[in-house]
Amino acid sequence: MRFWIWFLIPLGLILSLSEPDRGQRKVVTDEQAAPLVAHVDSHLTTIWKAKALEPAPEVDGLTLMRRLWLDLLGTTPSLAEIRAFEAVPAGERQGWLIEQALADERFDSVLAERLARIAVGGQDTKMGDLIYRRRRLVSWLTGQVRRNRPWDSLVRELIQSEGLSTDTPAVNFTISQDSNPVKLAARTTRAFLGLRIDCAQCHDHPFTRWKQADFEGLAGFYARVRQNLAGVREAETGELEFQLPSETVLGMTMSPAEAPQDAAHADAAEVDSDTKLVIKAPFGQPVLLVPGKERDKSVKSRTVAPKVPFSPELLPEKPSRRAALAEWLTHAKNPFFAKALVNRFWSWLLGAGLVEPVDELDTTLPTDPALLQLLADRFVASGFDLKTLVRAIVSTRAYRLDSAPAVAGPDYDWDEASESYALRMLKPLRGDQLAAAVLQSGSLRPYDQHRAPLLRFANFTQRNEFTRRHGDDLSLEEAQDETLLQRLHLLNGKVVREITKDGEPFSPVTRLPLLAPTDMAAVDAAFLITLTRRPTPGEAKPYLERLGAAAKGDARSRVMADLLWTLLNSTEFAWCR
Amino acid sequence: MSLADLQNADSSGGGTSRRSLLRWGALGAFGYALGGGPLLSRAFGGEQGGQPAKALIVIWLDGGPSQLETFDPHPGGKIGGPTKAVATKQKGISFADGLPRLAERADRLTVIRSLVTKEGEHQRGRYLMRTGYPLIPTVSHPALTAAVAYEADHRGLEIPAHVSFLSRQPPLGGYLGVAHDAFRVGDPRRPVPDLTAAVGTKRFERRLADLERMDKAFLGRRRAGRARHQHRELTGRAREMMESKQVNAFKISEEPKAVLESYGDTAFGRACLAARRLVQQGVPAVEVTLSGWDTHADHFDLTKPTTETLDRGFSALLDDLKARDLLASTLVVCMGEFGRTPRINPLDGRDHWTRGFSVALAGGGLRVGQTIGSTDPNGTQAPTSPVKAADLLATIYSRLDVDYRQWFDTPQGRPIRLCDGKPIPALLRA
Repeated sequence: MRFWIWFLIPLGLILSLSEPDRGQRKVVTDEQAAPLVAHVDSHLTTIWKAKALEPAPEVDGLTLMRRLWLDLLGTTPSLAEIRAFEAVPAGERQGWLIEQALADERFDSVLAERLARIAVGGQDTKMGDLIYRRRRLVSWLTGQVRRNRPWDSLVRELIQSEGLSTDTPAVNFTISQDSNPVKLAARTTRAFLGLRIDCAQCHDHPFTRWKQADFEGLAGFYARVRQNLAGVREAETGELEFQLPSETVLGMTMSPAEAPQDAAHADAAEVDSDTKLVIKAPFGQPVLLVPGKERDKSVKSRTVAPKVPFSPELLPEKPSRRAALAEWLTHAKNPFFAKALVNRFWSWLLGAGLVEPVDELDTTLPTDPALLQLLADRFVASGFDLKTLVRAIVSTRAYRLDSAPAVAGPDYDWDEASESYALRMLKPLRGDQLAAAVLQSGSLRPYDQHRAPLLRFANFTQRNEFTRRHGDDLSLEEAQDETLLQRLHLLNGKVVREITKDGEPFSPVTRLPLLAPTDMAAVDAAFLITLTRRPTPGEAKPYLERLGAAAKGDARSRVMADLLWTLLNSTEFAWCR
Repeated sequence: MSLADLQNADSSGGGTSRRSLLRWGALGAFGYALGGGPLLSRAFGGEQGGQPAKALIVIWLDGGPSQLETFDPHPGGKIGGPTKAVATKQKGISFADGLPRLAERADRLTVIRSLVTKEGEHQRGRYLMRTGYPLIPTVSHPALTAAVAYEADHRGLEIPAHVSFLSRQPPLGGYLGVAHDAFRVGDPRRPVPDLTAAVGTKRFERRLADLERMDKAFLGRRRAGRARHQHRELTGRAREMMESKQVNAFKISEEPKAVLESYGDTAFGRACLAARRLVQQGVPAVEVTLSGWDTHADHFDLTKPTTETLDRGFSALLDDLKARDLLASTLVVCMGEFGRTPRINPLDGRDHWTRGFSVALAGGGLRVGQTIGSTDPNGTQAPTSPVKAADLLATIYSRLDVDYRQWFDTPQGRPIRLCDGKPIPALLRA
């Protein structure tokens, strides 16, 4: 260990002590989730029958374990956890896995990070922690999720909080958008309603019903947000004022030969005369006028009053505009609030949402409108219970289906099968999952759990180093495509290099061949700690031969190092099968 | 060849034959008859006369460089501060005294002094100047360098076509895909990380063979379009790069001492040198970042060393490219997200300024030895001949033979032009 780490020990202790709130932890029961599970299962079974689709077979317990761990705990299972699982009697394993995953405290952090990605996206700090603290928000969310606070009440607090980023962590939502009404309106609709009304910021939307006035009316609810060194508050007066930039081009002209030809493009354009087309978008972006700042006097401005774009009857009278907006937004009858969340969770857990992209509920038809409605209705009826929703989705049959069909003949319709959730989508691991899974492979016990604070701190720095090189865009809800830089990092980078170094006394490379009673058991274990499955006889064979030929400990640990390296770099490792 | 073939070639992304196919299609008017008008309408270098440039080097001055302390000094008045002007080699043009070397080379530069934008915040300014579009949440546009690399013909290139040195926010591929994000590299004093295997060649080969076998078995049963295209393909590309001699382009230690010294003993200088080596190797788009320009306080003292670093590195790059006969085919542009206020604030700083800031260009067959637009010596009037970010980008694209008016479909299916600007006539040779 490098000498400087000793200076960091006190810091590590402080970090480990400032854990999120330790209130009563809520674990939802199977009974709460069961009705929704039954509904979803019977709905999908009907669909599969109607479409004459043969659903993929259900996966074995280890694959289910890998999915649950990656989805809910953010990492792969350790060898110790796998051994515990295999000690459970065969008939009880599935229930045990779900119980175990939901009871694990890592689930709270994963769920909280999930919600943070939805609510505030990526930026970590502003002006070096002084103003904005995303981590503080996540740790607050972790505490809220721990007690299973309902989604509607969480969202209300995020929207209407007042105070400092440190003592009222929920205000970080407002601060993350610079307390700017336009940004807040865009973020609010995308995050909590799954709508892109902000597309109407510059022009009336060409494909949907949204008008520029709809967007600006929403922004009007944030007109009185004020932010200064004393934090965020809502003023008693103030209205939004917009003006169009003086040189805005209202439409572009081009010759028909230049214009896009197909139908999708044609919607965005209209024929103006025989020779010209007018493209309706893009228009100039209206400028939000800030009181006291200079303005373009040559252009007229307009004042905007708060107005909701739909369901005005749900909007209450309240002194605080943000509180009124929050009530309207989270109202049980708001047609998008519940749908936006259930679609995102379905997408998170099943690999593809009923509507994709998840913030296009208004423009994209759901692959299964009835299922979306069903999930939303139940979510509302449960009182916006997040953990019950998660428990229900991971308990459905669809969640357990294999990503490979039993038989895939030439006429097997892959698109139809995956769109109807009769075949599980392969999901690439996100940066954070990959980092956790790689580091988990270097240890036989759960990497992050119940560890001495010092070790936990060492893990923290190791993980940071991995993500710094590998990148993890916190604004992304799903994994991005891999890059060459990332590929090189896994092939040759420091973390994998250390994990697969032979001769390290505590690494699996050295320990597995020592601890395992047979060569087969050692190869088995290497597969288990990386891919959460045992090798096929064909996969094991070359390694068994090489182990058999290697007499000495060093040569054996080289074989293990090669095996572990290969597993860590495999496609299967980088994806959730 | 059918239109479908052309479109397939186009959608395969980064394919090496795409450009030649498109050119081929554009030769005849029958391309339009097939209905592929926008797809086939390419701008030719010939449109503006002269051979098109082949490579682009962006010198990115991150933080918002002061026009007054670089390419547009106004000494003596209220706004000039202690900065003096020096006459340049080009009659009638003067630069700030912090750029003596570039002043000597002003005959090889064009300075636009009249960039005007509306984006006075770093992230938004960076986005606008790099992509030509304002930052909006609905679509992510490709950076200039990403689009140039995407469009370039890189047959035979075994190292990334889009490289960024020293950047904390490297330019991205946007809707072209993360495959076109810049390959991030630090100070070229250190080797490119992760290019050496942890084990010997023979053992590494065996590992890769094992890996290939394992991947085949996994993917065989699944329709893993993305996985198949990505993970395995990238392993192949990574291996190609690891084995490639072209990686030596990053090794500035191979340069004679005199060349190394001419660029200055700074990370930026070394990155400029590496950029030249990469261009020589056939890399079409390189960005080199020099940060430290965000001087809200103590502006004049803080800007001095940064300006000197720029002066040395940029000048050496110009000389070096010229000496190697690469300047005509390499367009160099030096810019940042915005400029700095004429007014000097009470902390002796300058703040963000979007109404009249400078961008310098060289090489690439542009008309040089001139300035475009001028700013008010009192810092109140708007500049003459204002230039928009999109127009600057359109100019660069057109010199690089990139059809900047071509349409792309975003992942959401929205049609969008690569660039919405118009080339600046004064920069293009008559």
